[in-house]
Amino acid sequence: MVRNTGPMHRHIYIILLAAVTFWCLLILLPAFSDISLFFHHCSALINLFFSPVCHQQAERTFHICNHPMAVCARCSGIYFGFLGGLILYPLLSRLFKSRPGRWLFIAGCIPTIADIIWERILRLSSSNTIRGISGLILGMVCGYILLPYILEVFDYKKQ
Amino acid sequence: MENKSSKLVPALVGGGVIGLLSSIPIINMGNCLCCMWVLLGGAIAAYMNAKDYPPEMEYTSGDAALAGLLAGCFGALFGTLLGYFFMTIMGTMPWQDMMEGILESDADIPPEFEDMLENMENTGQMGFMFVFGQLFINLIVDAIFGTLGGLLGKALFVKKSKE
Repeated sequence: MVRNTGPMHRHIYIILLAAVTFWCLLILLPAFSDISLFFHHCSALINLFFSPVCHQQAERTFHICNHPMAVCARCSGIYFGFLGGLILYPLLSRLFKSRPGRWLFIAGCIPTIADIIWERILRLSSSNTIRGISGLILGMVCGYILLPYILEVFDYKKQ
Repeated sequence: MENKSSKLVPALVGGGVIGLLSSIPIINMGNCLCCMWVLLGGAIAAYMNAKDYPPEMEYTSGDAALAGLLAGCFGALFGTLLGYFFMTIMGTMPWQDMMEGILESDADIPPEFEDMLENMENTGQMGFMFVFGQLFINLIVDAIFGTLGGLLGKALFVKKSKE
């Protein structure tokens, strides 16, 4: 499953995958606030929880069934990309033997930085899809870079 | 005998960076990009901590995560206090808007709860509750992102030891 790891790391990997999936599901939940009053109250709490992390501007957020998600398109891209990076790591780590480093991180940042410069400095129009895709790339790179380090935290032999 | 350097100073510096950048108006918008300042503070704490390590000892991911976690916790505390300070200076009271929103919403609010909210606002408890609630949320969020920042700092800035 995860290269050079034992059963302990597999368990950590599965727990981490479950936690990040749960985080991503929380982002989606406000879109289903119409289902019941309970969901409506939960959505308000979730929006409050994510408010320090994201500006939550409705026009910059993906909508599902006419309801905005809990975070903006770029942040959604980053979180779902992070999940994607965790899922892809076991496959990609077999192809690339060395541990990913700063150059991959810089490359992953380029689309997001370019989009921010395009929009904020050059004052040209961008879209939620572009923000989402550039965030997705950054998130995927972060997930891919961080996973071996997160697993190493639980490597008690090395501490 | 182990001679690991203290994480307190790097964590305080990282926490200070988080608190300051997360509370200054306009600059704090950087946190809208997945808590950028919290990640930066965690990374700074891990980098400083790694620099203090004796060369014969390996700086592990656990050390980086702990330095980032502590920086996140300090950052939440500093950020909440500084945020309250800036709100007081600028005269913004976000809890008043929040309370008006609750009272004016169509939601079925029990009259006792409505009285309790009004009573809390009159006695000045609402501001305290708001700051306490914000501190609670900031502690959770900053602890998560500070830890990730510490690990990111190790991945990007700390040289790998020779094995």
